[in-house]
Amino acid sequence: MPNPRVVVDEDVCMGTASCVALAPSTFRVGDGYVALVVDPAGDPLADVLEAEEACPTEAITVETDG
Amino acid sequence: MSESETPIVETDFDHHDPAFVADPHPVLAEIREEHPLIHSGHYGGFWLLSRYEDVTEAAIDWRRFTSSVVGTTVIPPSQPRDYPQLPIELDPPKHTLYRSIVNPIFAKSRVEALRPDLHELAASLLEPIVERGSGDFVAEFATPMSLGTLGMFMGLPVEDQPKWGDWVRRMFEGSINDPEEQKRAGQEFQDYLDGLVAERKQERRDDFISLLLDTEVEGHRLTDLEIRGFGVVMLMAGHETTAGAMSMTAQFLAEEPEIRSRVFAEPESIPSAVNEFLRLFPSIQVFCRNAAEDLELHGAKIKMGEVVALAYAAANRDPREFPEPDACVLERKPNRHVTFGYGHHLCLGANVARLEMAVMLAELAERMPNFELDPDQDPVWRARGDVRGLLALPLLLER
Ligand code: HEM
Repeated sequence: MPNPRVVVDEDVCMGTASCVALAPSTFRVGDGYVALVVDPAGDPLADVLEAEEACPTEAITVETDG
Repeated sequence: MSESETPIVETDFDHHDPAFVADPHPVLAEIREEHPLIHSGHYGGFWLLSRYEDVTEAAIDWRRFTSSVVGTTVIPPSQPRDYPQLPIELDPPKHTLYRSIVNPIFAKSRVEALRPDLHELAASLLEPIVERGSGDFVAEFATPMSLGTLGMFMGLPVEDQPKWGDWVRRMFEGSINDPEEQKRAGQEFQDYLDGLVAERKQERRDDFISLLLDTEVEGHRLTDLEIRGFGVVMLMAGHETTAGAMSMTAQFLAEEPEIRSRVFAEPESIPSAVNEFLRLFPSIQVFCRNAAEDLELHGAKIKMGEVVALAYAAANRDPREFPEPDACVLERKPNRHVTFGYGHHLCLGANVARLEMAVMLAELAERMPNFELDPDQDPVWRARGDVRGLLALPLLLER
């Protein structure tokens, strides 16, 4: 299966780190208070989807076309 | 249960004690370094976590540390209410639903668009202080700057600002020393917001309340109670916090001319400096969760329903996370302080607050780069130690 496409909308992301708690190998919070995608396949897809769902600022989009 | 073996560290910790409010960091450092978990008997009893790792873990773990026991995210508990404050007293997934209503308002681009107006406001507030050569930085700058920004941001009637400031102050202060006064202020504030809601129902405007009126959650329109609740939270959470951060930063800069001239000489250093000042002087020093089940932590047994306070102010100076934690390192990196909390409840207004701080520093640099504490009038601290800040900060300008 191809890697999911994981995108963080920097305009709304505030670096709450909620995604880091759910998918620690996929996301990291950088110095500009925005989450960075360090490895879109860093965690099981279910965890990454959970992070998308749980993002309190609705900044994460995960696309799995394949 | 072998209760006798539970190593409870019972202390006399009281974050509203005036001596603590004036000088909290030595006390917090001692607690943090000696006992990762303490208990205090004040205000009906509460636990306190102070290390960075513990505080961040608890802040984000709503299954064990819930925010949804109404009234218990602050100590002492707020007035009895049978509805939650939105979105601060909700846990996911409900929290996510309610927070998403207001997320678009807080997008960086929308906040950033306020910048020119904030510069104008800051400049106009500093002008009389500069002309006179002295002034009370809280009454003349921090308070009107914070209220003015919220008014612009939420689209509320500018002329009512002094009233909101007064209600918020009486509600915060009353809750620790005059509950009747707190109730009265709360009622006036509610009536005011209800009045605005009624007006906007007749005629929408491009503002916060109109946006809420047109929002649906789980298939229903927001109720009047929910709309009022959002309004109360925005002003309660956004005003004294930001005014406190600005006043504490100005006090520090008055006392530290070298740091002041370094920041003022390098405008590009302002964002990083703002972050460091926020780390050193968090206006929310303590915020709480409630044990969602019986917990075992650091060898102690916490019972379901007990209050667990998170000492954001202590975590911000934990040497395990921040080298030289008490030093002001303007270019500190990384600087993952918890002044705005951590996780899903992370302050919605963080970008607004950072912008206000940055504008304040830029305008001070331009208009009154040299100032000191007035030797004849001491700064006055607020009565509360959880929402810390100054009530008066008399400054003299050096000419
Ligand atoms: C320096 C200024 C400020 C500080 C230190 C601060 C601090 C905080 C903290 C620590 C929390 C999280 C509480 C928790 O752990 O549950 C929080 C939440 C919140 N803050 Fe702020 N705040 C500031 C300014 C503002 C401003 C300007 C606004 C509004 C424009 C605001 C609106 C809110 C709201 C609505 C929440 C609730 C978020 C949620 O529960 O999801 N704050 N703030």
